[in-house]
Amino acid sequence: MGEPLKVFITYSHEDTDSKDKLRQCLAVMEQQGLITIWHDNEILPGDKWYKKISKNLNDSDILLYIVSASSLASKNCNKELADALSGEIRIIPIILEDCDWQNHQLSDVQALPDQGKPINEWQPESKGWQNVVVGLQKVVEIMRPNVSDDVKETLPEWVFQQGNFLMMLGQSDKAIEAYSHAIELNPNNTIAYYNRGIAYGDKGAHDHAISNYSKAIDLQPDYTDAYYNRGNTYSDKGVYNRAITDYNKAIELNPDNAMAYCNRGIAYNCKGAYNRAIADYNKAIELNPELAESYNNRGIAYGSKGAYDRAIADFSKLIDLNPEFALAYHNRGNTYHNKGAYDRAIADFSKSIDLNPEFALAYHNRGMCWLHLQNWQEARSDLTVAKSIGEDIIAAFRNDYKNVEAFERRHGLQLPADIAAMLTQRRRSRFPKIQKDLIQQSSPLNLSSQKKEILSANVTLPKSPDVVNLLEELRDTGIPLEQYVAMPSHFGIKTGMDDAFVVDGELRDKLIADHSSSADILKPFLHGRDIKRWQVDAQDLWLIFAYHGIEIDAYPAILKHIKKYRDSLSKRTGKQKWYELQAVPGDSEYFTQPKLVCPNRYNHQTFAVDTDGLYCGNTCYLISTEETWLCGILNSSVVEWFYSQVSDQLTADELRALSGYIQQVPIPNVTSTQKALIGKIVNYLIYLQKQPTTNSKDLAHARDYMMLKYFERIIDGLVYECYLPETLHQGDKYFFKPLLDEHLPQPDEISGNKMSVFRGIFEHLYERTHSVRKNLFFLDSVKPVRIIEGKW
Amino acid sequence: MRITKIKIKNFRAFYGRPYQLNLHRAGKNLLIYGENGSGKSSLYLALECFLESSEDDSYQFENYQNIFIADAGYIKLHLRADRRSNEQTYEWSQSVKETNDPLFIEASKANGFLDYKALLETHYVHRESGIVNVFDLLVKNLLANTVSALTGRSLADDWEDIQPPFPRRNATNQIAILEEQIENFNLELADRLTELRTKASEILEKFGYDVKVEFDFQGITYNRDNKMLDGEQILLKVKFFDRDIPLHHRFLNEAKLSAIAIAIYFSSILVQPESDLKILALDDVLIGLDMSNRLPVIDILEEYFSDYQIFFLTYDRTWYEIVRQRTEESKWKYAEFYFKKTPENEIPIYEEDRPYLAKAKEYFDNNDYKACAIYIRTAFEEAIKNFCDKKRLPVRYSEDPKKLTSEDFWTAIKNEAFLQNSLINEIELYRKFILNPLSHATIVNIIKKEISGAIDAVENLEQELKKL
Repeated sequence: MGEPLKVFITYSHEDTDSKDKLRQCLAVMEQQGLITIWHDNEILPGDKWYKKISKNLNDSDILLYIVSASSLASKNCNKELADALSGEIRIIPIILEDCDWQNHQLSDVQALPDQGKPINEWQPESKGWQNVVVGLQKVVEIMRPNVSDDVKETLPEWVFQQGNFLMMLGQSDKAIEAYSHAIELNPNNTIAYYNRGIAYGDKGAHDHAISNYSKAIDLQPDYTDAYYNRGNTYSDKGVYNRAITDYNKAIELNPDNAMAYCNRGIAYNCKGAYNRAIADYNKAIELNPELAESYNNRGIAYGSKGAYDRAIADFSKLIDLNPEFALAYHNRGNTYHNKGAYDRAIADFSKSIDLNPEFALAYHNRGMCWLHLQNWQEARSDLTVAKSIGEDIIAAFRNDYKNVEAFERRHGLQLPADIAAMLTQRRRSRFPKIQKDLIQQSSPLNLSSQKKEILSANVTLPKSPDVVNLLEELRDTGIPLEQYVAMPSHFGIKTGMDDAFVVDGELRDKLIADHSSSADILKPFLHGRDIKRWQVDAQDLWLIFAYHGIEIDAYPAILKHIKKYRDSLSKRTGKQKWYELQAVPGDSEYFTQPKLVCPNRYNHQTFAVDTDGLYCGNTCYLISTEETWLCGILNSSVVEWFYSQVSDQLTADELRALSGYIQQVPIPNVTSTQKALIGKIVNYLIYLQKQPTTNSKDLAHARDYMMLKYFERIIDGLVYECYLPETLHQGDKYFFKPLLDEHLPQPDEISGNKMSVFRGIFEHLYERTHSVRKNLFFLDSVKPVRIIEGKW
Repeated sequence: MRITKIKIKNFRAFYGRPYQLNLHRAGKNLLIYGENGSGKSSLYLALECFLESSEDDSYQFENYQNIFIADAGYIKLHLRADRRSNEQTYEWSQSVKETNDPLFIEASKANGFLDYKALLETHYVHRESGIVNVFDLLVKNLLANTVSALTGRSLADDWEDIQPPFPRRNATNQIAILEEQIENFNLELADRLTELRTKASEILEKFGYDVKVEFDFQGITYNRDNKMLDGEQILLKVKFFDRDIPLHHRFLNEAKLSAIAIAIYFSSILVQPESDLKILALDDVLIGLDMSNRLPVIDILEEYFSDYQIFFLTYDRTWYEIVRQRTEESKWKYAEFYFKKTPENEIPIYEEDRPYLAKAKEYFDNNDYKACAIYIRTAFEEAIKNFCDKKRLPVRYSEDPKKLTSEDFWTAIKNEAFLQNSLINEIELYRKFILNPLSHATIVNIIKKEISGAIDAVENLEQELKKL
């Protein structure tokens, strides 16, 4: 027998009794000379005590950490403990009671009692303590120096368990170090990858988390939890389609996982697919009737669809499960508001404010109810409080009602001037923005790391079910752009310094004259600002295409030119050499192929077709495709509306091209004949856009400008028919048929004076009696069109 | 699509009992005579509000309900696509709103409602300067619903978009957007005016005025310095043989200005696509015209608006009778509104017009022989004309059927020997001085006995012709 192992105990003051109990249990082992209690240390908040005793700590062989809500709550102390830990100590958490750490769903955590079953759940508790003692005896056994190698715990396992312990303490940075160490020691440690994924997820490092889960899945393709957690991470990132794929896999592997259904429901919900979301919540509730988040989420989904009574039932159930849950009252109140039951709504909002006096949104929403009841004094007071706690009441009001006049008209009220002023902003935006808040509403995934739940605001008032349903209908009509187009879409080349890399035609000629090799890397260049609707108006600009790894010495004239900028170029961030471009997404072929481009900022959808192989700057967004008709889809008012509803506006009048949102745009499923017709009209527009008379705002050329705009309207009509064929046909609105009957020529089939042929086509299609003109004229009698035009 | 029945209760003047206007399965046009305040304008308003409520939420039924009546009111329209199809009913009331059907949304764009108030705007002439600014009339009224080819929105919406508040002076982006909106508005309006000018001149020709209408619109501009819009004017100009006529010239009297206004109004409908339900409601719009200028309107309606359902309302009895005589009973319904005083209040009475002969007898009983004679003659003409139509009798050929006289029809009937000689002789006797188009002048001297004889003769004739 060697020396007794030195045991170090850490516990929270509140758990002193348990610590004493533990010592009592260990007394026998101490008497046997197996261990000696080296140090028994109460956690003292605010004191840098671990520093002081770090020597003691690191001289110990075993650390027993008594896990309870109060010990885990001492974040600072735990951080110090984590910092003080060396890698050589065997850590054994002793679980006293059920608390947060289990939400992490860490795998293979070794804790005592067995399986981490908390002591207070053992009947009687003494059995739990007994289990702890037996467990410790085993550990001590294998830690003895003379134990044979096959039973001996290995270093990688120790390091891995230390990672788990650090996670338990909420020290994800340290945990990642430990897991990484474990992986270094054993590259096939699947669980270490998985747990490291969770640690990254805790930090919000989604991409790292995803790659760790993916690695774990590579090593073990049926790793259910890895799919599930990767799904959660995708969902956090807003990549719902991938999230859903992962949840599908997780459910396939384990059909009884209520949370996987619930979270898939959330992903569907965020995509606006409420029916599917509801089906998933139903399944989750079936599997686990106590799952509070399912009721809340289902309530939100029902509310979004306008099924208020069902929503109310769900929130009421939630209140039954937890009568102190402020958000549940708020959400029910919100639903009552949308139903017009303002008294009940006010009662619920008041209750939620009682439970959480800082609940800004609840004040705001109660204020809105008072407005409806024309109790100006209460309304004024609630709105003022909401504003003072930080609710943007002007934005919320604008999103819900557009403006005060619209609100008054809609509800037949007349607001007092001061309240109207509180709710008014001077800027105008083209579309009433309602959905944007719905997205915020459904993405409040207040994740406790890996257990995912919508447990936050069922935000603003009132969600218009019409808008929500229409968005869902549009999504259901097609497949997302990212799936439709094979090549990934992205922004253009970042030079890091346009002055050095972009040259005009004159300088280009000079560079080539100086050395003929220059021509090889001088490429036609496109700025975002030169993209018009339908076609690009490329200026005579050229990009020095100094890709990564270029042999710059082969281009002496170029080198001489950019040397002038060497100092500034060297200061750019990134790993490129000073003469290289800062970032070139994709490979260069990507630019030479036919593509659609749009500027990174715009007022209206501004996609153009580029077949000239222009090299785009990073003020451009590129979609690699030969399908010209997609330009028609992307520039249509339907898509403009869709995009403005789902994306963030830069300012009231400006949109931003954001990959994540553009990729979501559903591309409708249409026949090749239909694609060809849209493509043809797009070609008309490309041609017309280039003509001087169509761009002149001179009254003398008004008719040509109208022609251009009229063909755009025709595209709108066609695209409406692609997305909503049944609705349009019910209203007797047809565009494809009459236009196909015209057998319009392609622009390049027209010989002679093309403009005069186009004018003829326009005048014909614009005749008062032509069904295309008539259908466009009366198009807004169709409900979805009215919604999109903000007239519903 | 035509309106076959209108049911109204407790809407404006229509209070107390429910009112029902039957327009036949075919959905006939309706000609109504009614004194001012008799309920005539309430009918006009009922139709207008019904359609407008489809698009505009500010039209709320309760705002038009009679406040003294607790009983809830309604307007119900019955419609048929054609005589054979099923009748559909749409209601607008405080509790039911079925007007937001696409049918009515589209019909409301056709802008087929005109009353004299709108016309008064063209009369608003500064005589000294001779300037008529029709900007408001056109943009806010006649062309308001027209859909812009540039923006796909109505001209009124586009106008609304460029109204204050204007962007801050340094908000260049927003100013650029505003200026683009203004340009679009200008282009669209200018284009509309070109179409309107051509059509209005064509219609003015029907009035017998060989003048051309022009609109002088220089475009709206944004005045950045003063943050306001400039150029809110469309000047009406009239050319006579390519020569400008100053508007203070006596050539452009009240009547001609009215004609110009009506021509512009009709044109504003004619330059737009047609909706399924086409309604044209004219409330006293012809009052500024003398009789000779009114007659062409009937031809214009027939030529340009034959597939519209026309609601023609007037307080001018003579005009009412003229229109009635010049229109076909197969397409028109004739009715009148008058007020009946009851001990408690006044209620409007709606009554369909009776046959001419019945009216003749009524005037006879009231000793108004002149009016009586007119109706006898009208009854006679109607009887023989309908009979010729029914039997397809060969009548003297005339390029314009309206130029056929009663002589032509009467001769045709006599030639076919349908009637007994005694009846023919009797009619011939009265034709000379009562059943004669020139009877207006001589009628004063006719004695009572002869009038009653003429009534009997025409009644006999009607009965005989009916049997055949």
